[in-house]
Order: sequence, then C-alpha cells, then structure tokens
Amino acid sequence: MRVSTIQTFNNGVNNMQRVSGLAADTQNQISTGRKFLSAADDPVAATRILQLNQEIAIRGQYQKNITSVTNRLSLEETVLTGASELLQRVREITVQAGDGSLNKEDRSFLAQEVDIRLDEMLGLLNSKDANGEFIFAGYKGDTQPFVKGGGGGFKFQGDEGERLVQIGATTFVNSRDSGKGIFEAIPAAELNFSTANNPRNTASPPANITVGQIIDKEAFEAFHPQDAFIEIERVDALEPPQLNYTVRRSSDNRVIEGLQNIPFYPGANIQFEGISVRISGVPDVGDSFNIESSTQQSTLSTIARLNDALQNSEDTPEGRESLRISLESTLNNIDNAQTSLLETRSRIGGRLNTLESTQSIHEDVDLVSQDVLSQLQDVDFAEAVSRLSLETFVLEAAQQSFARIANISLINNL
Amino acid sequence: MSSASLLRIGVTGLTAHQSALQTTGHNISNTDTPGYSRQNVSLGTQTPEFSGAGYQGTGVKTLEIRRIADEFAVSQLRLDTSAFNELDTYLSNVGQIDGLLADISTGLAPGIQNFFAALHAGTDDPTSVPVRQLVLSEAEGLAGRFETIQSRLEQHNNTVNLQLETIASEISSLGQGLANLNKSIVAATGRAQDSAPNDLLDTRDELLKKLSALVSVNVVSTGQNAVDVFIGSGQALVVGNKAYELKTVAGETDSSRKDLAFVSGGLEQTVTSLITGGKLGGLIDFREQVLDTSLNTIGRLAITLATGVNEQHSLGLDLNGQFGKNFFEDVNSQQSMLDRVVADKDNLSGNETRLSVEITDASQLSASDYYLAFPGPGSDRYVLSRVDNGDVVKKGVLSGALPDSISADGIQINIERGEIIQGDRFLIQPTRFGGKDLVVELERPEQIAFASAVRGDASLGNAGTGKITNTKALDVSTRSFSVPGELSPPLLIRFTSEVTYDILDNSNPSRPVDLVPPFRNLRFTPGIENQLLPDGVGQTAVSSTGALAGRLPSRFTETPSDGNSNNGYVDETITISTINPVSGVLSVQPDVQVNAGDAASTIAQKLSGLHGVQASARTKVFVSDFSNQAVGGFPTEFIVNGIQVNDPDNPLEPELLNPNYLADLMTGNPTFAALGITAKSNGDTLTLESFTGDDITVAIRGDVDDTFLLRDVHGNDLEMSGAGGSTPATITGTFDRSAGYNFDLGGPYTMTLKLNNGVDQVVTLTGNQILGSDVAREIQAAIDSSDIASGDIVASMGTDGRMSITTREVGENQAIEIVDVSPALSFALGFEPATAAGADIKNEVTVGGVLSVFMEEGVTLSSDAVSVNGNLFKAEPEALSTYLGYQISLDGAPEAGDKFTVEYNSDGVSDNRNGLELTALETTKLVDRGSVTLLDSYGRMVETVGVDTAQSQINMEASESLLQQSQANRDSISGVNLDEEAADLIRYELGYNASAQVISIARSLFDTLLNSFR
Repeated sequence: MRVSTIQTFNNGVNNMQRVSGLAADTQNQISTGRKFLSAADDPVAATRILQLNQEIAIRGQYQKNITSVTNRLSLEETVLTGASELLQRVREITVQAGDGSLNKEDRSFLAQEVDIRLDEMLGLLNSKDANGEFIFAGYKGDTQPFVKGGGGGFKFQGDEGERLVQIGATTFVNSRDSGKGIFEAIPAAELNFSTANNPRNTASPPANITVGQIIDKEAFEAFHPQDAFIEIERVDALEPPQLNYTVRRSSDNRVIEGLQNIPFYPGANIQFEGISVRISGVPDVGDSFNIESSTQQSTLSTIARLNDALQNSEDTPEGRESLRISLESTLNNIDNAQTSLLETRSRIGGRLNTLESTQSIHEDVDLVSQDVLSQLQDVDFAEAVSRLSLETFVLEAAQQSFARIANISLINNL
Repeated sequence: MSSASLLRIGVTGLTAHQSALQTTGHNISNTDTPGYSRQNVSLGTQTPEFSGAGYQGTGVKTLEIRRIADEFAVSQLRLDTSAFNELDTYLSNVGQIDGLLADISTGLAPGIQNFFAALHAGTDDPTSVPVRQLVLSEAEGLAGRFETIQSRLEQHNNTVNLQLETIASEISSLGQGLANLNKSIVAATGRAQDSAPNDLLDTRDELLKKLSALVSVNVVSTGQNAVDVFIGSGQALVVGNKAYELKTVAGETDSSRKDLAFVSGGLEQTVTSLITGGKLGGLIDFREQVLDTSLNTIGRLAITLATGVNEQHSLGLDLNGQFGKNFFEDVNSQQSMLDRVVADKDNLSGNETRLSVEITDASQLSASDYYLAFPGPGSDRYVLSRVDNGDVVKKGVLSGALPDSISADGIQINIERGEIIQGDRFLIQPTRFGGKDLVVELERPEQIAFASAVRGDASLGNAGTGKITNTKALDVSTRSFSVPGELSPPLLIRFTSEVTYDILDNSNPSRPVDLVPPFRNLRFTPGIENQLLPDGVGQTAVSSTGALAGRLPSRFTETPSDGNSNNGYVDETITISTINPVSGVLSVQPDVQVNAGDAASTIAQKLSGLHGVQASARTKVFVSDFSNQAVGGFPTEFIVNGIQVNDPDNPLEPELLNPNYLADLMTGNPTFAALGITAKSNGDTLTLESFTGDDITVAIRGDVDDTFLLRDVHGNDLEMSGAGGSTPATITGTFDRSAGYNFDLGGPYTMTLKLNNGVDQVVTLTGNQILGSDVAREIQAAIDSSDIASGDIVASMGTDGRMSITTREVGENQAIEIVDVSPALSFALGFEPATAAGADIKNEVTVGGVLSVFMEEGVTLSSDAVSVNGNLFKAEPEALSTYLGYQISLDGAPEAGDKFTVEYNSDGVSDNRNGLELTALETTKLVDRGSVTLLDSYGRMVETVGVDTAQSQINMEASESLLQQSQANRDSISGVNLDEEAADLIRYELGYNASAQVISIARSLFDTLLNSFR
C-alpha cells in the first residue's frame, strides 16, 4: 500500500499521543487512588457508589442517634437508681416508725427526715438534662413536671409524650419516658382520688382545689369509682346573694348528699362521700373543680402522706391504730412505687440492649459496604503500576522507532 | 533524417523533463501543505511524421499535469470529519456536565445528605437552638448548591449560544470563500480550455473539509469544476459564485437560547432542527438532549423537595407553639408561575394574553417541557404535548370563559386573561427554573416545626391498658385548627364498653357534650392499633332529623284497649347512592325499607348492611315531675319496656316516686342492662337511654291523678297520667232474659267453670226464675255453692238483659274459662265454651331512637318523605363532614369507663414527632409518581449523564479511528511520498541529461555537417 510521508508522521504522532494519554490516565489513577475520575468512566459503578455513599451516610446518622439516645437513657437510669435508693431509705424509716416504743416526739424527728427526703425526691424527679430539658416532663420539656399543689399534694404538669428517635431504617427507640407512667400511675394500696381545676375556669388569679384526703374509707369505697365535680353556682340562687357551690356526680349530674347551693367560703372544708377537699382562692361563677376516682397514687403523694401521718400521730390507742394502718398502706405503696421504678429500669435496660445490638449490626453492615465501595472505586495498585510500566515501555518503543523511520528518506541519498 | 528534427526532439525531451522536474519539485515543496494532492506529469509522444519508411517519432510532449485525487476518498473523508466533530463536541460538552454533577464539592448528593443529617440531629434534640440553627444553615447550603448547579448549567447554555454564533459566522465566511473560489475556478478552467486548476481545486477541497468539520455538507458538482454546497435539509449555502448567510437569532420559543437561521432572499428561515453533523450538530444535540433534561431534572428535584418539606412542616408546631410556616419559599409565587410560560414569537394574540403555571402535585411532575398549541379549528381547541418525545398528554376544548385552566402531569395551566387566537403556541417549562427558585424562607431557628400539633393523654383513673400511640395532624385548614393555640374542640374519648366508645366535645371537661355530627357507639378492636377518627376527607355523617325521629307522640295510648303503642315511624324508603369519586359513576344500592313502627336499631342494622354505610342508633327520653297522689285506689306502677320498675308492695318505697329512687332501681335490675337500657338521675330528671336504638316504652298504671312529665330529645313535652284501673275477666251471654227463665223445664242446665286456671267446677241452675234479677241471683247462688270461693265470681244482668259472670278481682291475672256447657244452658243463656281474661289498663308511650349514619366519600342518603319536615329522615338530609383534620391511634385493651383526652400540643417543646416525619422524607419515594426518592432521582440523572458520556466516548473513539482510516486512505492516494519524489527526481534528471545529450549530439551532428562543407 502506498504510504505518503504525511501519513508516516501522522501515524507515528497519533500513536505516541494515544499511548502517552493512556500512561497519563494510569498515572492519575495511581496518584488519586481512584479507579475512575468521573461517572462516565463507569456509569453503573458510579451510581452504585452514590447509593453506597448514601447508605453509609444514613447509617452514620443512625450511629450518632444511637450514641445520643444511649447517653440520655444512661442519665435517666442514674436518676431512677437514685430514686430507688431514696425510696429504700424511706421504707426503712417507715419500718422504724412502726416500733411501738416510739412516742410522738420521736416520730416527729422521723417526720423531719421524711420531709427532707421528700424534697430530695422532688428534686430528682425534676431533673434536667444537659440541654436544660426536664427529662420526665413528656413533651413539655420547658415545664417543671412535678410541682407542689396546695394542701400538701403534688401535681404533675407534664404529659405522656415519649420521644422516639430513629436508629435504623424501621427501628425507633424511646429516648425518654414520661414521669406520668413511672411516678404517677402507680397502683395504690387503697382506693384513691385525684383533684384538678377545670382548665376552662375563668377566675384570675385562679382558685385551686387541694389534693384532699379520705376521711371515711368505707363511705369512699362505696362511692368509688364514680367521679364528682364541684360547680360554683350563680350568686342569686341564695338569699342574700353570695357565692355558692353544688356537688354533683359526674356520670349523671346527680346532686351528692344534698349539697346544692351551699354557701362558699375560700378554704372551708367541703366534705362528701368520705372525701374532704378545700378550695383556696376566689373562683368565678361557672368555675368547676373535678374529683376523679382512681386506683393509683403517685410516689410523691405516698411520701407526703407518710409525712403527714407521722407528724399528726397521737399516742392514743386510736392514734396508734390509725398510724399502723397508715404505715401499712405506706409500705404497700412504696413497694408498688419501687416495682414501677424497677419495671422502668428494666425497660431502659432492654432498650440499651437494643441500641447496642443495633449499633453492632450497623458496624458490621458498614464494614461490608465499605468493602464493596472500595472494590468499586479504589484502584488496584499492583495492577495499575504494572500497567503503567507496560505503557511507558510501549511509549518509549514508539518514540524510538518513530525517530528511526522518520530519518530514512531517499532525499538524504541524493 | 534531419538534425534539426533531432534538435527539436532533444528540445522536446528537455522541456518535457523540465516540466516533470518542476512538477516533482512542486510536489516535494508541498509535502506538508494540508490538503495538497500530488501532481503528476503525463507524457505523450508528439505527432509522428510520415517518412516513407514509416512514421518517424518526433519527440515527447507533456500531455497534462494530473492531480492525483479520488473524489470518493475525499467525500468519504468529509463525511467522517463531520461525524467525528459532531461526536467530539457532544462528548466534551456532556463530559463537563458529568464532571459537574458527580463532583463532591458541587454535586447535590452531599448537600441533600447534610440537610437531612441536620434534621436528624434536630429531631433528636428539638429544644437545642444551636442544633436548629444548623438545620437552617444546611438548608441554605443546599439551596446554594442547587443554585450553583443551575447557574453553571445556564452558563453552559450561554457558552453554547456563543459557540453557535461563532460557528455560524465561520460557516458563512467559509461559504463566501467557497463562492469566490468557484468564481476563480470557473474562470481558470475557461482560460485553460477545460484543464483543471489543480491547486485551486485543492484549496477548495480543503475549505470544504473545514466546512464539514463544522456542519454536514452536501456537495454537488456543476459544470466547469464548480460545486454547489447544501447544508441541513437542502438549504443552499453556496450556489455558483453566490454565498448565503447562516446566522443566529433569538430563540423562537425560548428566548434564552439562540436558533440558527438561514438568510435567503431577505427572508429568515429557522433551521435549527434541520442541522445535523459537525460541531454545530453536536452542540444542538447536546443542548436538546442533555442540557434541557438536566436543567429540568434538577428543577424537579428542587420543587419536590420544597413542596414535600413545606407540606409536612405546616402540619407541625414550632418552638413558640405556632403552626410551621413555609420552610422554603412557595414554589407557586406569582413570578414563578408566570415565568413557566413562554409565548411563541409568532403568536398573534400578543402581550395581553397571560398564562401562568401552578404546580399542584410535585410527585406527578415529569422532566419534560410541554407545548400548548391551539391548532384549531376555532380558538378553543387545545393540544398539550411533551417536547421530548412528542406524546400528546391532553386534548380538549376550553370552556370559552376566562379564567380557565388545564390540568395534567401535576401542573395546572391557568389562562388568566386575554384572547387566544388559533395558531397560538406556548412553551410550558414547569421545572426549568426550580433550582434557582429554591430559597429558604424561615429566618429564625425557633420557627422550625419539630413538634406535632395534637397530643393525647390517658386519664389516671383508667382501669384498662389502653394507650394513645400516636396523634397526627393531617390538614391544618380544617375547623379544628381555626383558633390559634387551641383544638376546636378538644376531644374526650370515653369507652362505654370494651369494644365501643364515644367521642365527645371536651371544651368543658366537667360537662362533655356531643360533637356535631355526634360520634357515638364507634367500634374498637382491642389488641391492635385502631384509627379512631374518620380519615377520609370526603366522609360525611347524616342524622335522622326528620319530624318523626325520636319524637314523643301528641298523646299516649291506653292499653290494651286502644292496642299497643308504637314509635310512630311510618313507611319510608331510604336510598343510598354512591358516586365513585374517581370515575364519577353513579351507582345505587338496593333501597332500605323502613316499615311503620320499626325500631331505630333495626333500621340501623339494615343501613349498616349496605356498602360504605355505618349506622348507629340511640334512644333517649326524659322523665320528670313525678306526682303520686296518696289517695286513690290504684298503686302507681312505673313500667319500662314491659318490665315493672318499682314494687308498690315494698314498704320502703317512698310515697313520691322520685328520679333517684327509680334510677337506682333500674341500674340494679340486670334485665335492663341486658336490654341495653340505662337510667340516670340528676335528682330532678330521670334519663332513660337505649344504646342500641331500641324503642323505649314508658307506661304508668295508677290513678288518674298520678302523673309525670315526659320529654323527648327535641324538647317536646307530654304529660302522662295513670289510667285509673284494671278490668276483671267477664263472660257475657247472648240472650235477653230480663223476663226470667224457668230452669225446671228441660235441662239439665249445667256448665263447667274454671276460675284462674283452677279446678273445674260444675255449676247447675235450677228453679223457675221469674225475673231477670232472679236468674242472676240463681246463677250467683249456683256458683257460690261450688268450690269457687263465694263472691270470687259475680253474676249479674246487664241493662240489655244479658247475663254475665265476672271475676271480683281485676287485673290481667284474672281469668274465667267456661269449659263445657250443656245444650240446654247454651240455649237458655247463650253461654258457650270460652275463655276471658282481665286486663291491666296502662297508659303508655313509645319513643323511637334517632339514627346517625356515617358514609364514605361520595355516598349520599335520601328518603322518599314527601312532607317538608320529613319522616325519619328529611328528603335530602344535610350531610355534615366528619373530617376533623387529624387522626388518633389507640392501642391496648381499654375497659368500660376509661377516658382519654385529646388536645392541642401547647408547651410541647420536647416533641419531635413532626421532625420524625420530616426526616422520613429522605427515604420516601416522592419523585416521579412515587417511584424514586430524592437522592435516587439525582443518582438516576448522574447515571444517565454518565452513561451518555461513556457512550459518546466510545462512539467518538470509533469515529476517530474511522476518520484516521479515511484520512490514511486519502493520503495514500493523494499524499506525497518523498522517496517516490526523490526517485522521480533522479529519473527525470537522467531524462533531462539524456535529452541534453541528444541536443549536444544534434549540435555535433550539425557541426560535422558544417565541417564537411569546408
């Protein structure tokens, strides 16, 4: 075939450029450690790499979440352990108070310690975490969950919310528990009731209903589990006009024990069905206050009632008998409260286990993903270096041979 | 032989070889000239002379100087040049996009990942302000990345425009050059008597090759070595010595891009779609296939992200307890909507016509632009088609009145004002500018809405294990959220049994009331998570509001004399029709027939049997103002549904029957519980209620002055009073015996009697009774002498002379039975075997229940009631929406009496439920009809561009080697080989020397000749 001079040069140059281009690419691969530099080099692998990177990023996020949840749960567990120990101490005091040889003065010393412990417990239950959120308040992280209500009782101001955190594609874990379940909803040794203001009350400052107490157990047991409410009626229902109230049963609005249009005095005892409550402050006409029967008593109330019983105990036989009854029910309630704490702690323990095992699963999957990722995108150095030496060899050969051929021409021999 | 001839022969040889040497020298010096075709001298003999001994040769002459060029090789080279340049340009442009997208620092994937990572951190710790600030920063970073990519792509577009302009002008100037060359070539050919001007032809071929690198050309030879050049689909660039111009103009449909236009005869013709091949073709292909698609896909990603986040964000509450505002700016701002439409330059309708495009459903968006054309006939017919593949998406006719709209593929095209003229066309670009439009609108970290709007609580007094597992806002535009900071109304969920519950309005927790429409008797399945509220937007409920429902009649019925009372419901036909919301097809189910007197519970059951309908019924009646007169013969008996409630013989029964006493009695009587009837008293009023909707029948037996007041749910009163008595059992004869009768004639006159199902007693009548009264006395005596206690049966004569025997006691437990009568007695008095019973007279009233019918979307209820006020239902009862705009999930096993409250999540700063929903957007398939997630959509685009680039790389390399081959081919034919030329040099030099020698010999011959003459 006829080969023109231009062709000789063009061919030689093209080939040299091609080979040096290959060598440059290989050198690039070696210096970056990556098999390809843009998606075009291997589009299928590039997409897979994108997906893998995303999976790794998401899993990294889950790992971070696991760490933060673990921290929170550890804090909660510490607080609960403290509460448990505190309850244990109160139990000891209770047992000690049952000693028949103690007199009223001795018991008042015990009552003082119970008082201190009560405050301690209140502080524990109102613990905050590192961000300043109350850990037992449910969704109301800025609201102090346990506050002293009027009349020696305690009110729970939080809610039941539990915060879920995602630690896996379909795995969610509670990062906190609401104080309601742990400290409020504890089965009581006896039938109990709770009181609340109607949130629609208009009086400002609001009138508050006290925690109240049971003054006649049998009467209350007959009433349980009905609920009642106290309603402030129109002033002109009485002659002369003054604030008055009616006590009705919630289920059918029936007036209880004839307590209809009774004159109202702030702080006066309102007694019915074995219950005694007081309303402090001045309510508006139309305000109402709910009394709800329940079978539960909060931990704080248990300790508060113990305190009350120890302080007001008399050395008379009736006094001792009623003290014995109080102590017995206090022991039962403390045991129930401890059980609730233990249940919660074991739930937390279970969650911590889940977190740990999920974390190790994530780590294992991560290893696999990283491995696949590396296979897809990392260059095999041994192969690349030997390829580079081949290409440089070919390049040298091309250059030398070109130099030889280019020189040969008949013109030189003219 | 003549020496002069020899001389001449020598000279011819000399000149011929000289010319050959010159040509060879020309070849050698032009070795490196691009496009040069080697030239060859073609030698031939001179015309021979006839010399007698034959023809004598006269030397050599140069026939022609040939240009060695193969037309086919040259045109093949041109074709391959076009192909290679097209692919090369396409590759280099696509490669830039590829690099842009996959790069870590500019690509979108890391941006999206970082944004969602920040959201995760915020969800884990919603009260932390720095963490919230991070979310906003990452969002802005993501918006920045979108904008960077968008502007880079738009910059690329500008570069493409510039390149088009440059290349177009280069083509025009090449064309001009070709035209000039044509002129010179024709002139030169003419001068040289049709021998070709070789070098000019080479120059022209070279120009043509340059031109083919820019665009595919079609070369046609015309006479005299001239050529005409055509590009595109036949537009002439060069004709003879005239060249036409190719230039760029602003885009016809899209002003941001330039189109190519051909100027011919003063007219501009747009030829962009017709141009193929060369760099120009490569740029146009790139622009249409890669640039447009990439811009649209990026835009779609941005729009889907913005709408998805905004929608979910608006359902949550921020740190201040307010509903989340727009996280990103609304994709449907006024300006954005207008920017998505471009009117064709040629539209006749002008600037007054205004269209805008609204994004209605981001998940349905495609990555294509659309043409909205009005091809006619008339100006109302439209055709909406995709630009990328030409598919027609929608065809139809406008309504003619503006504003009008056309919806398809997730967009709604609004024709706002102006006039459409037939032939108008609009370019719709729904997602083109999405990347630029992604802007973060939230300013402060407290405004991020991580919390959910609604929260549920279990009451401390609950005995069961029910727990509210989730509450979710679905639509914050409903009435429930109309008052800021509150739920309107808050709810109380009260379980009436383990499997039924009511939902009540808990605005006043001391007195919960029914919702409108009432949610009563709803079914619950323990042990699984139940959705408590209807969650369909179109679900409605209808109540029986007709005149008869639950209504007391105007008077009571005395039973048994007037028959039994019933609830007063009449025959009624209820029709349930369903309009399928998707297809619009109307279907009617079999009518439900209400028969007169049917209880509401029965009707509810019949209705619930239909598809898409769930009915429940409830009956309620109030009893108050009891008045029991102590004097009077009859004790007051209070009877409900045939069961006597009180026991007048009970010494502890209070004189005045009062509501509390009756309520307690009924509550303590298990028969009522089994019937589903409850009784409650608030001291003044006794409330009787049937939870199943059965009729409640209230009856009173007593004195006429014993009264109470009945009231129904509509407030209508009815005073009930006692009927005042009961009746004894009586059997009366048929013959008038006032004139007496002789029982001694004929006989025997016997009958067998049974009192109160006792023992049969035989009674015999004797004696001649003169008067009717005597007959009665005889009968009395005869009965008294039997074992029947004296006076328990009284015989008497009526005013019509007929004899009757009556029990002394009254009430329905009194019965006389005549078992057997002798024929004589039967003839005499007309007594036949019969049974008679006494009766208790009661006044009674029956009240029917009211119905609440829940219906699925598209279902309507109508009744055939003709009166305005309706029967049980009105003819077209009003269907009220049951959609509250949120959903509550409850799990576990609640017990009767358990209560749960649902209220607005105020102060819920630690709540992260909305945050969880936001982070879930990362893994939700939001894009392209729910087929891919955001990151996958981006990945798909990167893959597509990468595949395109790889493909073009392969194609380019293939065409490069083809080009090299055809170049080699052409060079091997026309290229100069120096060795060959060197050999030629030697050859022609020898020839020249030899010819010179010939001349020298000719001279010496001449010399010899001359010398011979001296």
